[in-house]
Amino acid sequence: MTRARVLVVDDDEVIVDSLRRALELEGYAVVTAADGTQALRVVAADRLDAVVLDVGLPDLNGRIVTARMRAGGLATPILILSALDQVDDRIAGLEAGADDYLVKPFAMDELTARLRALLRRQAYHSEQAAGVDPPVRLGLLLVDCHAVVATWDRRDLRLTRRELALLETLARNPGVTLSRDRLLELVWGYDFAPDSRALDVFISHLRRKLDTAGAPRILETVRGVGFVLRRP
Amino acid sequence: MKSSLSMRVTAGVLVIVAAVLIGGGFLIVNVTERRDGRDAAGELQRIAGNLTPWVAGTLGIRPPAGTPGAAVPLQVLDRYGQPVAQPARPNGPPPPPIDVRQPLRDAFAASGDTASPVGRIAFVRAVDPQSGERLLLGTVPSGFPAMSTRPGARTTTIAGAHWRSAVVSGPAGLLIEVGAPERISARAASLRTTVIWTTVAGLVIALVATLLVTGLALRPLELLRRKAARISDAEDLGIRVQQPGQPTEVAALAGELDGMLARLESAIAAREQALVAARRFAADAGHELRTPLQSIRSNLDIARFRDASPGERRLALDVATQQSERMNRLVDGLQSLARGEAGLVQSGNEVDLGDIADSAVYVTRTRHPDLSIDVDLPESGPTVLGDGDGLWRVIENLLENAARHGRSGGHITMRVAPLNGGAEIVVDDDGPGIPPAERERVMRRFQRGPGATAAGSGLGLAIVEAEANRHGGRLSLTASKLGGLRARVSIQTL
Repeated sequence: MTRARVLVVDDDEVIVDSLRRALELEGYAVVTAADGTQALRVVAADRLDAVVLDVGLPDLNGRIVTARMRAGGLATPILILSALDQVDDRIAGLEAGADDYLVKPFAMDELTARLRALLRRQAYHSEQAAGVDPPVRLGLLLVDCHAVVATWDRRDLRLTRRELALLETLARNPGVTLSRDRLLELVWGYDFAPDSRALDVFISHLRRKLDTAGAPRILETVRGVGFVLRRP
Repeated sequence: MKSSLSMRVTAGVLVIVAAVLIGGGFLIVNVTERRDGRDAAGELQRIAGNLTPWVAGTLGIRPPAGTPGAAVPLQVLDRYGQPVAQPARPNGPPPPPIDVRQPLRDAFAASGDTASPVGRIAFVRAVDPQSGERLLLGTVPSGFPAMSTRPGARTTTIAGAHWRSAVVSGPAGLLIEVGAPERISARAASLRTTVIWTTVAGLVIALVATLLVTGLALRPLELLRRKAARISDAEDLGIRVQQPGQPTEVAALAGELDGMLARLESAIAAREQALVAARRFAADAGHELRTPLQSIRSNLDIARFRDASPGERRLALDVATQQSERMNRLVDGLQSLARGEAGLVQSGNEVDLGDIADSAVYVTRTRHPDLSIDVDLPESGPTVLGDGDGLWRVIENLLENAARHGRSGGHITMRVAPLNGGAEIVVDDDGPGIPPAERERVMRRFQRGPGATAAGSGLGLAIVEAEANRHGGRLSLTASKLGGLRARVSIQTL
């Protein structure tokens, strides 16, 4: 098996260098970029398995880079790095199609654990998509992972890939409360509890998008347990 | 031209005074003129009436019985007592002389003095329509129209001179006319001059008086200005400009100015205080950050030391990692605190505090798997308006604080419940707690509770308090039934 190729984008040379060394030690092939423009060029030219992207780039912010990568058809996991106070940038990055985030400074173990899980999950999803996975239908809700689309009452919910995967997982288990750990495992492939609120952010995005499409409140929090999608 | 208030008032007053004086003068002149006209006519008619018996006698017309003139023996004399030439009488003896002095004297007595609207009688003429006999005393100015046959008063202008005359009818159709130079226009002209001078004098007096009065009236304003100028001169915002004895309007203005000054003063004081706090904060933060930084540096030096054993090296790196995490928490805390102290949340979103608590509990459980956390949440809500991120930090810090300072492997309870339209968050731990005397102190930043380990940032409760204040609430610390500390935060709905 060939080594997975990871693009690391950060404008700080020291950080790029230490990330590159650490990831190479973990067995990844590492490509680096110092700004958004360069990153987009690499994405267009190279085959990549994952992207590690800092949200505070000098030329384009993380949200724009993520959105352009996704618009260019990049389906690989994007993990964004942010400082604690860059909350809005972080959330905008997730909304634009990033899969998870890490707050700087982070332990290298944390980064490699997530990358490993996301890559594994990616491979799993690709296999599933390659097989004939029937779309999920729940009342007016339709989730079609093969066509990468989810609709409510034939209105496109305009979900990112990760939101789609989360909604699909919940929709395949209607009325079943899935714990946070279980969702993190099923959707992200994490067999550990990440110290991030990404799941809450994705849940709130899903709720908002369903609400905008006119759906009733079917995505509920079961406190102390997790989340459940009620049959509409 | 700069328009001063007193100039405006003066100009206004002058316009009004001028209008009143000119209008009034015009009216007075006009009314006087008309009244004089009437007086002149009446006077002439009266004189002519007085002369009637005499003229009738002179012209041989018997006055009706009982008229005083009939008994008077008449001799025609002029007003100076000289006999007047009698018109020729074709038949009969000449009539007895008539003394006209008395009636003329009577006639002229009232005329010609300065109070009279007419000058001295210039002529008297009469005509007896039955006999066609005429009588003329004095001189009729040339160009004066022939005697009118209709009784009444009239005005005649000859070569620019005004004449007044009156025709009265006597017995048997007798018509008598009396004429005199008019005095009305002269009187009116003199009256007009008086009015003009009065107006001028009035305006001058009004000008001076208004300037004086406005100066006096505006003096409190000028005093106010001087007082206000002192504030900037002395750079003392503590000076107040309102004073007893100021007129109502000026007092109101001064009151407003004082209010503004008070707000300015407190705003500046607050800014000064914030500046001092920020400086102290920066100093404290620098000190707090330097401690773990020093530890990292020392341990890295140990790890690099050639003679260090692998075990020592390992330990040094572990300590350096721990210290970097501590530093990280400090920086996180400082940033949170800076955000929390940034001022009241102005516009919040609707936030489900229960969901936030649920998420924070999950994170705390993940970080501290050995703790047991009892959670008491309503099925949904409470919903508050606020900053979701800030409220998450409140709950996370309360839980983290309880986890760190409570008993290791101990027990924490958390309750979130609606309260007066807002909400309250109560977190209890079963640790050693904080003595009452210490509670106030540990809410301050970089102040740790008794027996706290160095790993804490010393910022947790300060962050909670700042965020609670930001949401219009407060943090209070009491003793918990579990034996440790109870932290309670109230959140107001904005």
